[in-house]
Amino acid sequence: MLHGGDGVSRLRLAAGLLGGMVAWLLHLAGAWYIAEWGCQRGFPALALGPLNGVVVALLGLTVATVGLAAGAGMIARRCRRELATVREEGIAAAAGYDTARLGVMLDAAGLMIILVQSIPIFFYLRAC
Amino acid sequence: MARGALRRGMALALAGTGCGNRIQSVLDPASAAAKNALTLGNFMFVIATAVLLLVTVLALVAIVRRGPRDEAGHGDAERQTVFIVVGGIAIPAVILIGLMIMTVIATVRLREPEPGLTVEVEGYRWWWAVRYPEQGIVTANELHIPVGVPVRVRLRSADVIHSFWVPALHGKMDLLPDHDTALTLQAGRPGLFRGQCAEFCGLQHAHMAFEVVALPHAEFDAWVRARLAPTPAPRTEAQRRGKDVFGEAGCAGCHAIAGTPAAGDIGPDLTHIGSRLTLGAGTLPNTRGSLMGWIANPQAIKPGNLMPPTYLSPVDLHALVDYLEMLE
Amino acid sequence: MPRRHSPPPPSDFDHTWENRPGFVGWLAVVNNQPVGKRFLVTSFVFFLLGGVLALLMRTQLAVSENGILGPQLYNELFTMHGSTMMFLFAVPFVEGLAVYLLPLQIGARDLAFPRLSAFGYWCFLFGGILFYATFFVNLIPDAGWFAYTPLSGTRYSGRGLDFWLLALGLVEVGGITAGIEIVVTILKFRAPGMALHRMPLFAWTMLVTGLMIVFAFTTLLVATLLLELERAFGMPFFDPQGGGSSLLWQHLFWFFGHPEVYIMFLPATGVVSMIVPTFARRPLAGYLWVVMAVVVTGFVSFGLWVHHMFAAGLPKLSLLFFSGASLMIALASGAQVFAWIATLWGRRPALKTPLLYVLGFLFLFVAGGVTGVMVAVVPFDLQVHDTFFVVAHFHYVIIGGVLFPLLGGISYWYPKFTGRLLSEGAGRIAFGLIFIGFNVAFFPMHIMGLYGMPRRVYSYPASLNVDGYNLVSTGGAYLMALGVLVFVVNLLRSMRAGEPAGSDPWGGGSLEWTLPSPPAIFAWERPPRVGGRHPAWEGNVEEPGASRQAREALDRAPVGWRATLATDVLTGEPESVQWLPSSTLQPLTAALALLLVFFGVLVKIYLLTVAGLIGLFAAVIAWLLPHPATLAKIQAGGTALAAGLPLVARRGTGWWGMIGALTTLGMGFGVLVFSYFYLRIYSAAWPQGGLPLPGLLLPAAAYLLMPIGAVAMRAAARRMQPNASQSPLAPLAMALAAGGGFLIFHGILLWQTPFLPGANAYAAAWYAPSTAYLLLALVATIWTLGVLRLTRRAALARTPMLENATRLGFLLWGFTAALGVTLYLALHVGAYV
Repeated sequence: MLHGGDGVSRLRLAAGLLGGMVAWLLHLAGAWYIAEWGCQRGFPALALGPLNGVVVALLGLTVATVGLAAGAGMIARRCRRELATVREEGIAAAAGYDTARLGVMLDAAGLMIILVQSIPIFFYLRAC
Repeated sequence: MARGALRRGMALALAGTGCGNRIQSVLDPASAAAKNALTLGNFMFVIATAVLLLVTVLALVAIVRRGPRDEAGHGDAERQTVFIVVGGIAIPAVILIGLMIMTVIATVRLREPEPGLTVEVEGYRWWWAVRYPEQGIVTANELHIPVGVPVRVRLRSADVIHSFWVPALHGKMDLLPDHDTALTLQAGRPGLFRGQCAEFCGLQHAHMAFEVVALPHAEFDAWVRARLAPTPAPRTEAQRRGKDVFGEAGCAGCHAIAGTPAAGDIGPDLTHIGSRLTLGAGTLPNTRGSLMGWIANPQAIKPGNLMPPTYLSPVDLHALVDYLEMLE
Repeated sequence: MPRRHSPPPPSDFDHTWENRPGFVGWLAVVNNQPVGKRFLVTSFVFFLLGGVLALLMRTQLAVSENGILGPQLYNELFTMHGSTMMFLFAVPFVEGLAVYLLPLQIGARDLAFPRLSAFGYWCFLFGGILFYATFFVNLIPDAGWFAYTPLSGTRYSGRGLDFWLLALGLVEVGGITAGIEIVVTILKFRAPGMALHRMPLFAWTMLVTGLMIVFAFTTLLVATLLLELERAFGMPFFDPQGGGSSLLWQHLFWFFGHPEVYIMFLPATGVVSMIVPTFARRPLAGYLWVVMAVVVTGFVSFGLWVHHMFAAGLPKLSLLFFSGASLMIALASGAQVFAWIATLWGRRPALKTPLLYVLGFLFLFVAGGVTGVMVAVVPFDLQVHDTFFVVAHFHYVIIGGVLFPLLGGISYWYPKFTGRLLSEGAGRIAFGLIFIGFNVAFFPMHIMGLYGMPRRVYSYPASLNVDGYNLVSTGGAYLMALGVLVFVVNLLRSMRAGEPAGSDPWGGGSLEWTLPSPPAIFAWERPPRVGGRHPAWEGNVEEPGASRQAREALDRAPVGWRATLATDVLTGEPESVQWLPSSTLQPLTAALALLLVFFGVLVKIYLLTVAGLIGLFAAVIAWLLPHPATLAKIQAGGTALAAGLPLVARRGTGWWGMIGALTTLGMGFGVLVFSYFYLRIYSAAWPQGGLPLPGLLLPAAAYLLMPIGAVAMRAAARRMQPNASQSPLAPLAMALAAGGGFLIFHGILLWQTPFLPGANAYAAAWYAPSTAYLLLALVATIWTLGVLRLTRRAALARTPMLENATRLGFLLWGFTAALGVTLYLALHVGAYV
């Protein structure tokens, strides 16, 4: 039973299901550690024009995790579309279809929370 | 003198007769920072009440109202989803994101202005050492600050974690044993504001209070000048005897009085004890009676504090108090 | 589904499930129903004790400057009240509910690891007894349930804290084992047809909660061990005077502590999501949205820990990230609240006691939720943090959001537990008293907090003007206690005097309502088939032939050994016939050995600790080794053959259990590595105090032995397959040699380190993971030794059990090897960067 149904592998389903939330977790833990370390020691090497190094690191982290969450969302959406037509046909496809739907919702939630918790970065562009 | 009036007011407040007079309240802000927090709190309180009412009414309507006669009653899944997504997620999301932006702005505003004065506060179990490094003043359990001037309060703990909190002026900031923290007090009006340790710090956490006295400029300058005057020599016979008792009874082992051999650093500095508002870090008003009671048996008043009872003859006790009251 | 009202005479099948008689038999029970009941009853007793402590506190606070209790006793009371309610009531209670209910609700005969649930119960019981033993030796812990350092260090706190830490350690071990148990059960033991998207909401919440327990409790377990290492052996992780950080403890504690709130809350919402559809007589509205909300809550709860530390002087920027996450988690609760309202909408539900608690919950939880949003806002929180405003807030959330649903849940499932209904009249009186008493007790606290009354004070001056509010609050507390008393009397009286409940007094839709009340100890004579989310409401379902064959083969079978169906994680289709253990004293022995380990530290007789550790190893090995007679019975019986299923699946319970154990270990080592890097942020020099940098070459050589062993284990696992031709003995011996070599090599390197663990925080943070890794490598080596010994036993050679054991051994080795490389990079190479 390696397949969730009709060609959708469980690995893809799992990635689509949990990718967004994992991305969010990485963003929060990373942002905290960067702020904690950076506001103590600074990251002069990363400074970019008027932006201080800490902010550059934080923005980089945000872009990366937004990408991760969006990517997971895309995987989940594709799984959902592939399973939509066959979900009446068997329990595996039906379960996979709902799992993929859940994944789309979770990834959207992850993406939104990452964006909301990134708001403060833009208020601290010059200093901690 | 203003200070005399303040002291009387304080004594009344401590005796519990200062009715309707909230001395340590978030609801009576006396600074821009405290006002900001309260405004934010009021705004959220209105929204919170509305949300609670809305949900309560919805829940009541849900169970009271009769729906369509549909015993299988699976309901219209699509309408249910719209209800959940709009009511439970979309509308709250708009409110909460707005609140997030307000939070960020209000927090950024806590950014400290250039201070006009620096005070160092060091937390001990269970009292506060207060130092004015620029002026060279050392006192305890009360901060005098000039109105309108941003005062940088540098915080540090000598033992466990404490938290510095004067609700009328500013939110909390912890005192840590391993690095400095700070906040800026900027009183908007003169007054006496009570503060208290807000982080559980052991046995007498409940009795670790302090006073912030915000004074108009001239009075603050006068206060500084008075503190900087040399410690007065005992004038009366009793005061002289009291000074000797201070040494003989072992007080000097823990307490310091500037200009005398007493240089202990375990308990609060007593150079200005006569002018202090309270005893035992806000535990008692500083009256002659309570001072005598405190010296005789501080353990009865604040059990577990580090000061042992002092066994003195009544004459010696009166002499000692005469001496201490002189130390303004 | 057939409901048997007159059970058939006992047969061999019943005999198989019977437990040994007498007291020893009672100690040896491992079935989920009795163990679940023990969890429920024990934790409820602790709840009552914690409530008594609360009443004493409220009595002291009734008027200003009250002198009844004095500071020492008051501080002890609030420490014990918080610790009791969190560790000895809320979490064990929801675990007990899950242990009892899950198999009934998802159609299994027991949990995935019955012995582990019994072990968890004993650990919890011993921990709880150790907690309360402090009252008899007058060493009551007094540093708060949060035990902030340095106040909880030896300089400021006495032996009571050692009791607290070690008792907590036992409770945490019990919690983690129950967490793994619950997760694996939900993933692997669902009835045929119960695909993931048909799972009852209670199972969803317990799945998420179980995972959260594994991560959160492991963090706390490591934190408590570190603090005990500091207290007992002077390793200064948290002591600033030794280079430690006073805030590290807070980070670790709240990384546990905030999820803890949701560990209690999510199962409570699961209970609500079961009660609401029953009384609305229709499916839960927005099933997937509620599941999403549960999963989001599970994750995001790990991103809120800093909001307990807004006043701790952290960079403002990092506070605001947590503000964002704290505000966003409210959306997940919003979705759930609206789903429940939508479900009830227009259904005129009968207002019976369980539903009353749900309605009370809705009101109180939303009230606590909106103040939760308020304290997520940094500037406002800095004012109300650590005041009675926060006391009010979290009691609304925990009593309103957790206790109310749990009391509702007790009222709802009591008929299933006992076969009798609770008195509805007494139930309503209890609800009314508790609801009114609660609001009278806790609403005024909001105002007290705003007026400036801090938390955790045994006394307050009259000048705060909060006397009146406090007196009212105390009155409310007594009213609430009266309500709880009525509730308890109702529980006890109805056991004998209650009306017989029948199998389904409420008309519920989930599987447990198709069973007699109380159910047979094996619950299911034949595993049920599920075709939707509400099997009790749905008629016959279509069934694939394979599923029917499996279920028929297990109809009152097997005989002579206990078994249940293991099913696929996603679809719930049958996968294997899973053997289940019978009565055994192994769990009790293992728990006693663990108690001895902790007790040795407590009395500072470390010989006991060593003896306990050896005993624990022996007990666990005895536990894991197959019993030859049982094995013969399993292999002889034709049940699996008749079911058309294997006895061991590739991704069976063992595999998932190993994944659970490795996740726990990974989290534990993660916490150690995190602590190392956190200490590094705030140290001017690293290594601190001029200690030498760690070696590079020799440690690399040592750490590389473990990957070699892992490769050998992989080869051994391949050669264990039935069709393999080569003997697995050679690679097993090689893995054994690699493990043994590592133990000696690494041991010598540790021994020759030129500083001691107590030198400073760097030394402590370096030694802790390095030494813990030695223990892990020892476990991996012993595993290989065990497999090697069994391989040489003819009866076992090439059995699927042994192949499985070898594959699991490879998992363990692979994890250990990867962890070793990580540690080498972090602790050795990293120190030079």
